[in-house]
Amino acid sequence: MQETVTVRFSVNGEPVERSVEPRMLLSDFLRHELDLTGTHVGCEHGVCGACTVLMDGDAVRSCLMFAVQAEGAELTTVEGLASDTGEGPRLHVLQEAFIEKHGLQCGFCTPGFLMTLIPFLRDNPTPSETEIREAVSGNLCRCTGYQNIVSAVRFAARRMATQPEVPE
Amino acid sequence: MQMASQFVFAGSREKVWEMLHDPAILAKALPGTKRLEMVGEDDYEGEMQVSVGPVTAASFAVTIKLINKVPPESFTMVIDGRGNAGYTAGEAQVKLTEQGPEATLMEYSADLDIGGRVAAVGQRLIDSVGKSMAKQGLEAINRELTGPVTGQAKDRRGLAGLGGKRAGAVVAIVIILAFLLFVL
Amino acid sequence: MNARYFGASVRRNEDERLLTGQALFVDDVHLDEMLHVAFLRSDYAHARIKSIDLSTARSRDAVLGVYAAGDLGDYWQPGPLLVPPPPIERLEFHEATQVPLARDKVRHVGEPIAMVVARSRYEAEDALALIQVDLEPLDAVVELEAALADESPRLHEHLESNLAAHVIQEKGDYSAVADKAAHVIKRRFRFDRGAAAAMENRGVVADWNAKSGELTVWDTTQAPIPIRNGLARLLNIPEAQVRVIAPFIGGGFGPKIMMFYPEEVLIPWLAMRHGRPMKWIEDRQESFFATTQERGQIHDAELALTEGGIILGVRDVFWHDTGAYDPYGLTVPINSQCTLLGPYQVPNYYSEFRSVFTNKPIVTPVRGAGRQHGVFVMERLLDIAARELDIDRVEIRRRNLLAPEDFPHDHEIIYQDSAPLVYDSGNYEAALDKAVERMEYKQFVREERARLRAEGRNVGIGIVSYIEGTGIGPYEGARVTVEPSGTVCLATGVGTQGQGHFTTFAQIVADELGVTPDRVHVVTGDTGRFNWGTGTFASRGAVVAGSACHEAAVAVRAMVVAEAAAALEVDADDIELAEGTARVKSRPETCISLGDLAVRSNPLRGAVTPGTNPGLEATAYFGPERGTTASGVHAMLVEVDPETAMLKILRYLVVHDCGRVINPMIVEGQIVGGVAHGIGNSFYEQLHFDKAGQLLNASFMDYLLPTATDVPHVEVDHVETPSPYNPLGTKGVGEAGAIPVGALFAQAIEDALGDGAPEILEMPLSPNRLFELLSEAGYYRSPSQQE
Repeated sequence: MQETVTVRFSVNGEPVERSVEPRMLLSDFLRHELDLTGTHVGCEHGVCGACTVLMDGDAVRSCLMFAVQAEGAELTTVEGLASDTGEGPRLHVLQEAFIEKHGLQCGFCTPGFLMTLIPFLRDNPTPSETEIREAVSGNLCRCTGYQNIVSAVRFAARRMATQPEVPE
Repeated sequence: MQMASQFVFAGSREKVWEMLHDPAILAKALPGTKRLEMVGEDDYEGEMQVSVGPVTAASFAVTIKLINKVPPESFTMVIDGRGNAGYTAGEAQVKLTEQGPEATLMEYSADLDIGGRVAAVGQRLIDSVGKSMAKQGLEAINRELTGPVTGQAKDRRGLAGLGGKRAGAVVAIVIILAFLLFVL
Repeated sequence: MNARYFGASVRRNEDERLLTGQALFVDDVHLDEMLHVAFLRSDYAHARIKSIDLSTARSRDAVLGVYAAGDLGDYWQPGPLLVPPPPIERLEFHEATQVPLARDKVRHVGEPIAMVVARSRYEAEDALALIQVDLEPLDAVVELEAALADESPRLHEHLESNLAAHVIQEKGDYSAVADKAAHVIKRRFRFDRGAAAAMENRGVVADWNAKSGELTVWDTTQAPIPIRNGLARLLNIPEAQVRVIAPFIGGGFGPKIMMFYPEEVLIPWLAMRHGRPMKWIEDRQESFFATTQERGQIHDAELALTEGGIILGVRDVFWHDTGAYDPYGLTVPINSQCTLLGPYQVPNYYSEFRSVFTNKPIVTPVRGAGRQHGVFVMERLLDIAARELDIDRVEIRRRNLLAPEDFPHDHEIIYQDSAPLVYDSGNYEAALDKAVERMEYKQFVREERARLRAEGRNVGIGIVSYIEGTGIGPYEGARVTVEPSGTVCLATGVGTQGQGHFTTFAQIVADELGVTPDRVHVVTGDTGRFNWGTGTFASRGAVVAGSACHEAAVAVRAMVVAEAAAALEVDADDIELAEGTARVKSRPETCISLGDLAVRSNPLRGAVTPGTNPGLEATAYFGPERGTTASGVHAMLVEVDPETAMLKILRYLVVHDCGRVINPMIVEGQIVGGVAHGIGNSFYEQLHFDKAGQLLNASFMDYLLPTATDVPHVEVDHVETPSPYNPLGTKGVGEAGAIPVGALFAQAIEDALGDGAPEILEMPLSPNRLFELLSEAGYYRSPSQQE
């Protein structure tokens, strides 16, 4: 057995403290230790973007990090996007927009797109099509041809502009 | 793959020739060398072991045969290296030319088959990393011409996430391979 | 049928689960006591295995088992021939199917040699490094034509050569018409390999319950039912005791229907042997070797025409690279052979191909499945003919299109499904007209191109036609059940990989039963729920399984109506189904809910009338007599920068005909996604093998998938020619977008480059390759480039 280290951080607002092998990837830790399987692994070399999560509000690739590198950070995964209303989840505007505009097919890459787009829309609430395409150019999707993803982002941006109370 | 380059040593051709045939000196110049020994006239066998950060050791066995020796001018190496991340096999030609009493030009070229994961993910690394590592190694040998070599710490950050749980080792093997090819 | 939802862009039932991280993919299956498997794969493309030493790996604490071929005992056997060759006269086929673990020889890089079972994947991979394999390298077979030379090394010792198959299909007499033809065009075309590159890699989890004797397998397969049947046979357990689940699958695109992959055979075996759940998940690097690939073909083709550009005949002799084994039979090359004819009247056709074993990963269908090769050859020949005969590109196509009254059209050859190649219906000229008009083709060719050229811009237009054989048999089934809650449950055998089956199938059933699609709970790809059928391939889900859903829903509707008529004491003819109820047409307030009817039909006391079944449930099967023929036209405007050989797609239009459309939103999504895939296959993606059979770009850093900045906005328009071969009138759509893209790129690029442009006779291109072609053709020295 490899030696382990204790790591502490928060995921979707919940504190986590575990001992892990130093070599364990953050993506594997989230998926297999915490059972947060919404974060997907598509390439394990940082190209496809499916494993993107938020670390202290910024998008990071969890397959390019070891779990121990997240020490002290606040992480958000796709499971933390919808807000809990007590009567089931209330989807984030971006999630609703993906449904409305058919922004997903197999849905495997989708969590990574969502987590890439959350900080993007926060920093650029009125993006142009070109800006959207550049923002997601580090995320690969084999199903949609990206077109409806772009439409969904525009739709979400418009909705967020008219509904400022929508949760971040 | 084919590669060729050259290097000027600050030493006489005889001295350089001698050093290039001394496994003890070569071993010191090569990072991760666990063993490199002469097992017969012009036959060398070695084992490299590399640990990269949290990735456990990956081993790599290499045999080198020297043929067509014309001391102190030229020789051909027949290289066969096999590790868990790939292999290489082929020949390299080395030629030494006197450029002065304390200057020797080494020209080397190799034609090698490279296979396995090293070939699959290391294409872009082999050339550029190989060249820079070769330069470092050759400079280490060059320093040996005037003073002893000490172990070198290499910068090994950023090797996680190149694909697979053990990708760090693949990259290390690429580096070692390239190093072997360019230095030996 | 009350078409309320059929034809509507209903939002997808499956999306919320996928968007909140709650959809189950194979790698999400976590079971107590689960062990993890990693495979040792060959570094050599071709080598003899001299010895394997597993002892050091076995001695590790974390390792519970290490196996090579010799440890499998009788379980070691070559995989089944998945698709036997169609009944074509004089056909020659040599079978060599893949093995679970290589025994005497390895035949491609990445072929599995040994496997390790350990507590974690990390520890399993650690132990791989301790396995010592002594391999004696052999010369590799890489080039197609050289593979058939006498002196070539041989892959399979039991065969006389590397020939996997030799097939000739013929109609009319090509030689006779070619002799008399005004023009004969001859060219050689090349297509190189690409990867399907679904975002989710493959994976298998198996759980054996020794007490109940049940095996449960989660598999990223497009064909769970055949996997179940095969595993039951291999493991000698009753089919009913094996449950194979294809849960949410992160993209299929063809390779996930190959079977059996070694891992699919071995992981269940390990689970039984160790008595613990077993998991293997492919990583991306493995996927480049361990998952099947497609495309390598070389065509020597001829087109004979009259002075007026009317096709007299086509002759095509080609080589097809099947890789190291040929478990998928001849599906891909026969698709190439048959699809080449396209939407055209081709009175004489001679097509001959040789399928060849090479030391490369196995070839099986990838989205398009060989069809793009045929389309590329035919469309290129027509482009060249148009230029040489000085006929407009669109016009030469128009002169040769099949007319609406030509259907059904029999091409007098055999298709991949073993049935005669007969087109069911089509309206090809209408689609071409639409594309010409929407792209303002005539105006562009007459004025715009020259005007842009004068501004120093190389902009060209492309416009190509294609057909796609879809919706083939043999059959699929579905079971519709109305539950006491009023929920309608629908189970079907096909798996789903993102095509929206949870929604389109629900739409079909919802219309029949008068409920909303979100009240239809769909289960696909779980043999525990439905165990008759074949799988998701050949763009057939909506056509074949959709028709079965329809038939089952019609049957349940009749039961609902009869039950309601009895309950409400009216004639069955007076009953209508709406809003989740059965009601009297003239008095909608007199109604009974579907749930109540379900309760009534399944009484706890009293007697069920002999000859009737309890409950509101029906199962139906649909097997089409033959496949449907979808078709379309793709057009684009492209700007080429000759200095960098980079492209910019200014407009991309698809006019598509997939018969009646169940859900336009989903259909357009399939088409646009297919175009993106086709763009990758045309200008970005190529698997590079060296002379030793080493794949040189096995990562997404080097194998480039198109990104959001590479794929343009795609406009989609429809022509609707219903298929007469199924009750819904639909045709398949899953692969359509990807098929004609290479041909389109070639034509549009040539058009943009103008005089001095090289003929583009190969796919895929890349900026690099295009630059080379331009240099070789002397384009940069041509007068028009030196202004």
